[in-house]
Amino acid sequence: MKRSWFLNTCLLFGYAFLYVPVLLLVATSFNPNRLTTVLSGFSLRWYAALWADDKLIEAALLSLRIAALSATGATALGTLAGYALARFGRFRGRGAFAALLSARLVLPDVLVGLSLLLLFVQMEQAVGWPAGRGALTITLAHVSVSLSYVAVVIEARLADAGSELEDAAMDLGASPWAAFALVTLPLLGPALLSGWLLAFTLSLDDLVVATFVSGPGASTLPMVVFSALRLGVTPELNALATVILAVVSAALGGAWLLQQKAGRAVVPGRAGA
Amino acid sequence: MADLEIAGLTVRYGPAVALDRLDLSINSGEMFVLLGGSGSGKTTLLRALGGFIQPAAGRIVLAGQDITALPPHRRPVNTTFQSYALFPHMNVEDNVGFGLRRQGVPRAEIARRVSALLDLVRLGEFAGRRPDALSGGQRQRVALARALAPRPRLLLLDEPLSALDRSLREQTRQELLRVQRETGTTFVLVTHDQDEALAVASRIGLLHEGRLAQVGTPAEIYERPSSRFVAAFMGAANILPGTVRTAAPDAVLDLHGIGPAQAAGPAPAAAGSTLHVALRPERLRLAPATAQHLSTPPGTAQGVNTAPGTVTDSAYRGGTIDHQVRLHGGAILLVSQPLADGVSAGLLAPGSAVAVSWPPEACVLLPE
Repeated sequence: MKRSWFLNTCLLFGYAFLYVPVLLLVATSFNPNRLTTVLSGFSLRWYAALWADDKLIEAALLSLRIAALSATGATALGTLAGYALARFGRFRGRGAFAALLSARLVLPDVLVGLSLLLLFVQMEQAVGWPAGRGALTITLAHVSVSLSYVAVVIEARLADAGSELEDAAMDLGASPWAAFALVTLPLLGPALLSGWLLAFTLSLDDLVVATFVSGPGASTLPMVVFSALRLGVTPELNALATVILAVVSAALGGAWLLQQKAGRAVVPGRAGA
Repeated sequence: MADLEIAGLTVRYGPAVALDRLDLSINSGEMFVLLGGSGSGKTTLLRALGGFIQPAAGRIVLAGQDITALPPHRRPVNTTFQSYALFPHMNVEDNVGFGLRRQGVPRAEIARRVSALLDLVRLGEFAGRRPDALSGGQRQRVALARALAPRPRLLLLDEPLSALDRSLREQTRQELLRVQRETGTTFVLVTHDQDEALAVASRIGLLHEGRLAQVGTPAEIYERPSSRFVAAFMGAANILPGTVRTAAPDAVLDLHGIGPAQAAGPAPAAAGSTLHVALRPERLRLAPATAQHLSTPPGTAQGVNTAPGTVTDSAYRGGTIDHQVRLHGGAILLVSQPLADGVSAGLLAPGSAVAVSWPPEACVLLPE
């Protein structure tokens, strides 16, 4: 089918707007010249420099660790919250609970970061935990930020699937916990995975909240990059960005493939007819 | 022997009463059908029996044990759900074995019992399939095998045939009856379809607005409906008001819009009172009108249970022809004629003069 030149142009410009900057970044990262505006051949020079930069590597590893831990925590808590909202039935104030959960999605990061900083300081004075600020407080803060995202994903999935399968499991002798573990959780697999990945990328990406609740000695990758930027853009950062891009694309692509595979066999709504 | 005793069962959804002080006893090994329209409370009753709804009042006693307060997983009751609710992430074998694993039955015995059940529902070669690779009828049979596996005292079936197409429905109905006979389990089946209820039930409980309108064998419910509602629900198209002239020994009535009618058996009300009468379309006879019919004015005696009229519509229905007849007295009757003699009974042109007649037993007197 022949599409109109107008649609083709719209498509071209839309995607160019989205991806030309990214492609430019990738291209520049292979440019040996220190001046990013002068293209002069192909080189892995900045990747080598990156590999030798202990500070950046350390920050990247810390970021990955915090992202993995906080995503896991947020997925566990968010799943419980989403399950409760989807299955509790009607009760007075249900709408308010749901609204409170999703309101966190739109609260400004600055506000969240500040409030968490206050909380951590007060807690340290009151109970002595968490002692000081660092990787632990960043992880806790990220759990708090991503929990709502996971809960919303899980609730939508559960509301979609209905409760009949859980009823069937209980009817066949499974306690409510067993029904959750044997039927609900396996069916939630794809939703859990996408919730986890969402929380993971949110944490990896976060600069504002982490800046508030971090302490000396705990600098995540975005914090290091941002502070390096103030000293001027180095091509090394381009190389770093390209590596992150590759890792994130691979993870998202893998997750998408998994979901495609699992979705077909697992979505009960599609089992009909 | 009564296996299941339901006493004073009341279920409320907020201010709405879904079940209203319902009493019912169901015998061991019975195929009991709960019949009713939407909102009648039949699904609520099924869910209360399964333990998914807590009643506001009343008791459920199964085999001498009060199970009213037990949660679903502690009841010796299993359910086949309307959408089958097969676990999509397990194959057929694991679906059927689910309840047995929960009971802690040894692995070898699970394998043995699952394969026996799959043979019972004729799905032996599908043990390894996922539910989404099965047809609707096959899924229904997996759901049945899965619910039977823990050897429930009571099996609940929620609209088991409604999702199947017509040809499959008859076949599945036979399967259900066969499995019920072979296992001897008490079945309680919910349906909105009176034909299905008549075909499978040992007894029917007809629910209306949270109460049992009538409980009885299919023949009792169909032939001796206890109320106008039951008669109408069971497909009686002609329900007419009348006045009792003579109450006993055999009632004589004055049917409004038709004239005098002779019934078999006494009237449920005294002479002079009004009641309703159901005339089943298939019990009515149609004959060409004679001169005598035409000359007598409406309301006067002209032979037992005969009334002249005019055909207003004739519809070919496959096994029968349904005629709509406007009687000279003003009433409109549906007359269903079998096509046993070929098409000789035939379609009648609108305006044809006919006489409708019926035997005294065809008058079903409905108490108000």
